Amino acid sequence: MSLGRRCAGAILVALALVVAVASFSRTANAATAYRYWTYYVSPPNAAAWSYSQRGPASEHPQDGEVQGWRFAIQADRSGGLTPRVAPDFAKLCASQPATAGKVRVGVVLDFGVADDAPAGEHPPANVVTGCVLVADGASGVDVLDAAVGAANVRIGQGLICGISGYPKSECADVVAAPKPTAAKSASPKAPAPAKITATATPTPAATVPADQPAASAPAPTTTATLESTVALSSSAVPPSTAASESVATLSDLKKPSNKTFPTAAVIGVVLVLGLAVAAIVRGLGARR
Amino acid sequence: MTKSLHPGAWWAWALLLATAATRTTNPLLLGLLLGVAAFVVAGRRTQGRAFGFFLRLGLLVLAMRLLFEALFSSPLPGHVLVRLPSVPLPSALAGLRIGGAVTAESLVSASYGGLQLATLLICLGAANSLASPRRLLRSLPGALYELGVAVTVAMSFAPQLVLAGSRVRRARRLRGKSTSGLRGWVASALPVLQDGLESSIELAAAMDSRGFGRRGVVSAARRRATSSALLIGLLAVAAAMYGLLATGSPAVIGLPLLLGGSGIAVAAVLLGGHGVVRTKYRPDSWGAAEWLVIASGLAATLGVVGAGRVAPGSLHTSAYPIVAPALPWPAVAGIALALVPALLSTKPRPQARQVETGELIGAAR
Repeated sequence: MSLGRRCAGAILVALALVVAVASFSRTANAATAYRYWTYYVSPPNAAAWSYSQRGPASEHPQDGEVQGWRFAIQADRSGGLTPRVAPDFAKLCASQPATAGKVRVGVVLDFGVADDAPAGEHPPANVVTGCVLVADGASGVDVLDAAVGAANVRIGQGLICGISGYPKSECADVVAAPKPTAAKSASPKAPAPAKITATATPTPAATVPADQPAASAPAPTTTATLESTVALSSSAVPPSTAASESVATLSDLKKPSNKTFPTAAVIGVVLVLGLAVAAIVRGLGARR
Repeated sequence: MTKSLHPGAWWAWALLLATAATRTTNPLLLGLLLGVAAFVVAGRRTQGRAFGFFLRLGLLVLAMRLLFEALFSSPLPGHVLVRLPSVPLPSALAGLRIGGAVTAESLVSASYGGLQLATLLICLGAANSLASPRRLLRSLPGALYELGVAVTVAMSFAPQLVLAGSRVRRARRLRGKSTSGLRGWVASALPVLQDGLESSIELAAAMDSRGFGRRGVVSAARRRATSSALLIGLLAVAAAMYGLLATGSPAVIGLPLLLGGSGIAVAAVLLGGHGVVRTKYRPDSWGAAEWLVIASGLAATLGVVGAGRVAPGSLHTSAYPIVAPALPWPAVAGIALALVPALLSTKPRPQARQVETGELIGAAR
């Protein structure tokens, strides 16, 4: 009888373990896609994008480099979604002469497709390209600041969360993986968003030619049609990816930040201070 | 209104405030949570020292967080305040640095994180000063008495150690031996440890003689069944807590696990409690006031969580660019409701307090 009880206990423990493991592995599978600004670099004379192994605060561009940002749901590690414009430095920085002590960096900002946008939001632009001149030794964040203005870059939790107000408030949220990639499911791990200062850990995908992450990108046809265009207009893109308004140059993204008086914050500070004073008075009163 | 509230209610209230603090880095909401905790504690005449200690601990945590941010972590880009002399590190250590530029943005970001941690600590301090953990242990269900003895002994060990330290040092000084320097410390370490341990064991014996940690006659199989059920239930609750608190994990697994796990744990505790033969002297009662206190704590948690739903982004204040923090109204309303216990909290009956401490500590000395 005691043997039977022991068996029952063992089965109970095993069941509990199975349930726990199953529930956790399910969350791990569901939590494989991140929606975030992915950071790509293309060193001088490289023809393709490569997923940056360093965060933009640790990445220091050379003259002739192109840096790309793509907002997308990254669901598949072996086929990351790259900016839909090729890193063609000669074309991007054609009108920018080399300057001593400064480096020229081509910039490609791809706001992604409407399907990848967070609920209630729409990409404010399509693909915006340009060329910036930054001091030698500047970082990738400086390049981004020079491109769209520091006030339009939102950083949180050590990540680049938003560029030019897109997305509005989320930051590298975990989302359900889009259907087609989920069905493939051979390697469902997405490239996790790297911190701006972090060095990316080598992933299984990095053993695949690291400079060709676009090789199995889900939309090779769009890449091909977009390659020829540098400054894009809405007509150049498929209807599903059309942007709400066409923003063609970097300077259009530098919106002046509208400063309003922070009434709510002032009310909050008054509330906090009032509560603190009340607590002190009450404490003194209680001691007496 | 002269009744003192059940300690469990105070602990639940403070832990609910702490849970609210884990969900936000908005400095205004954290400040409001701190203010509410301080206001409620301030109404109590006794045990203010514990809160003061935790308040200082919170300040220390905040200061350390800022110092480490300034010295060691890679800064957010932005407005450089000062440039400290820096030590170059190999590129393999990217993400770590010593010295260098300190930006206003990184300090602001660190202060939000530090404030959150400090708020958590101070909420615990509030629980400690509103109801002593020893009093909470007294109202543990019977199945957990053994655990209660162990926790009480462990908790009384550190204060005993401090007392023993001062006793031993005074004795050495009276004998004309040095109490400072390495030699003095080494010489007094062993007697201090011995003394502290002895007092704790004495306390355990005193508790045992009063019926703590004693079980009635229960078959071994049943005892094993209840303890394994308790273990499984608590593991499930821990997993559920992870599911509920970690952002990004679906809440679907959290709630059923939490309910199932706590159900199993409660059943195990009830089963185990049958074997305990012990009566409680003047047990703490649980009435409407206790429910009200818990509900007000729950209001703060739900208010903060609800603010995250109503106004996403309002719970986390951006440090780059530095912006004025938002003041989401559901969170403010919820935290304001958490002030309700301030109306109930009156000084505990002096008589009741004497009994409570006398039962656990005084008897051992």
